[in-house]
Amino acid sequence: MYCINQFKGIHFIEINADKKQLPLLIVLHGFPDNAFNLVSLVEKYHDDFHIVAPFMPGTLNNENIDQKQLQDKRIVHDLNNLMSFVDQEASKDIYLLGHDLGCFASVNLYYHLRTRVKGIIHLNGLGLQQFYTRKKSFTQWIKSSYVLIAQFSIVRTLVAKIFPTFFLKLIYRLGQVPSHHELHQYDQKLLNPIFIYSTLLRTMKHFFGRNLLKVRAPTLFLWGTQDRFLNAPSVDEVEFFYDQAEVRIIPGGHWVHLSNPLHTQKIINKKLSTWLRANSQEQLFGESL
Amino acid sequence: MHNINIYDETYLEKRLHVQKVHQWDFNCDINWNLTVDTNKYLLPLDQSNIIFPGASAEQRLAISQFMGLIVASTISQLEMVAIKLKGPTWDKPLKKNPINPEFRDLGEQFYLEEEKHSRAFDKYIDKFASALDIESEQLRNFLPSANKTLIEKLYSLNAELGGSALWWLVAAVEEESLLFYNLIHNSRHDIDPLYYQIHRCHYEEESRHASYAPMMLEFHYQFSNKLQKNIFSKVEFLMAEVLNMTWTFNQLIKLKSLKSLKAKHPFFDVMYSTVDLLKGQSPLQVLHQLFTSAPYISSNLHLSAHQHVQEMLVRYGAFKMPLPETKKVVLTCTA
Repeated sequence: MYCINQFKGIHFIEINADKKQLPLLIVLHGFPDNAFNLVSLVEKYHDDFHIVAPFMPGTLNNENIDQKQLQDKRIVHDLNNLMSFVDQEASKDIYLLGHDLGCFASVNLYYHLRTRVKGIIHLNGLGLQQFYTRKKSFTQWIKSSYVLIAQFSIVRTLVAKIFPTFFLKLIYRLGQVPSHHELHQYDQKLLNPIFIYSTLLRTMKHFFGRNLLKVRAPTLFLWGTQDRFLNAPSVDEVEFFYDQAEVRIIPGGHWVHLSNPLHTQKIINKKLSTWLRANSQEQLFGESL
Repeated sequence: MHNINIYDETYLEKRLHVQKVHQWDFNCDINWNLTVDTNKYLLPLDQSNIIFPGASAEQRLAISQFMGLIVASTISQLEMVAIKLKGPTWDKPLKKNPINPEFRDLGEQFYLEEEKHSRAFDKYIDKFASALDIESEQLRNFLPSANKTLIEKLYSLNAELGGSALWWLVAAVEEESLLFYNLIHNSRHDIDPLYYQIHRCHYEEESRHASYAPMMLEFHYQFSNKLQKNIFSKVEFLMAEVLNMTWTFNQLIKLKSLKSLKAKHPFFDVMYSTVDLLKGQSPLQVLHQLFTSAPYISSNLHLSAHQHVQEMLVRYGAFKMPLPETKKVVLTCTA
């Protein structure tokens, strides 16, 4: 059972809200998904983090959503507001954990919070600008062809309203979500934010000629080797966008945390512990460490 | 079968730790003050002198030393090839599919050790040349060399196309070098002490990093596309076998030119006199013996005979060359 709060129309799971000294762990789920799966992945960290896991609009209660809510800038704006709400003193260290589209939001949030972000974990996902640089990758075009098809409103209606069960099954099968997993039991509401593909594609045109914004926070890319939607990042690609990033590829699909939960958990636990330890030492002894 | 779980970062980390803790030092752990004892064997030979029937004690010693130098040079040269092709065969594929930092670190350690082994065997050849009082280059003219050969280029091309033929060769040669050490170890009292010491150090690290080449084969298998999986990975071992045979025979042909050095040192004179021992046999007979019963050479030609290689051939469904089986021979250091 999770405690679900609401702030300005955004639903979110919050754990350890009363423990003011704990760093924030922001958990951002992908599409089509909700916040429950990723939160269950970091449950072990109840004692170490103040966990906040927002739901994408429409995915919790099947409420009607305004398409503007899915715009890139609006998402970050809403997340920023949410951060101000859960950490009113704006003093906590922040860690970001995202999957799939959640990683787009993660990276955008980083650009707003910068030095407060002490670590980022991407699960089979990446920043939008990084995704944009794959425009010359043939295999990525093949894997992402659905993004182009989803630009047509009739397709979106077909997927989200007429045959949602069929498409959810197909997506989860390709993403290697285990057939017994409870994600299969959620209904079409998970497909509500499908319009996000249109807003993201529109956002991407702004990357043309734009300066590179390098991420300085330590970052971990954890990737399921059988991802049918996104290519795993290469070292060159990662070094281009990140100052200190590490890539780990493990057996699993696009939903690596569901197809290979134990290994995913082990790596995340280790990484978060390392970052926590390093940051607490830094606070104790200064940045020279 | 080696543990080739390339995704298990904990295991890889432990392996790396063990390798780092136990690695030997080039300058301190080998007694380079030892001089080469030219009256000692370098490798034990078959008692029945299958290839060189009727060889005298002096000729057997020269053959043993020459074979020992060939083995030293082969190891040194192949390890050097692996290092030279590090870019296309290791760095590039690992940058494209950065599986985990531990696997990469283990690879760096592997190359570090290979470079050290290559250097150690190279230095031994220099010391042997100096014991004979000849220029090291004169001796090297008769020893295997892979520098800028067509074979090196073919391996490089294969790697550029996403292949792993070189890793098949490395896996087989590493397994072979462990077998060679066991043979040397059994006759260690009759072997030149410095040569034995280098092989012992080499053996220690080779046995510790023996699983890295199989891991790289597994890595290639896991990250290759369907075309590579269904076609390339099936024939790459064949390619390694053919290239290895071509290379081995090329090196053996070099023996012919020993004549030019006959007068330089009695070692070459004795060695050249062994060519006469081959004259009673037909070329086909010699070829057959090279494949089946010539110590070290037949083992080198039968890459697929090694146990771990065989297991990997089955695992990846790779083809191998149909070769006559090798015969077991008793090896000693006595005349």
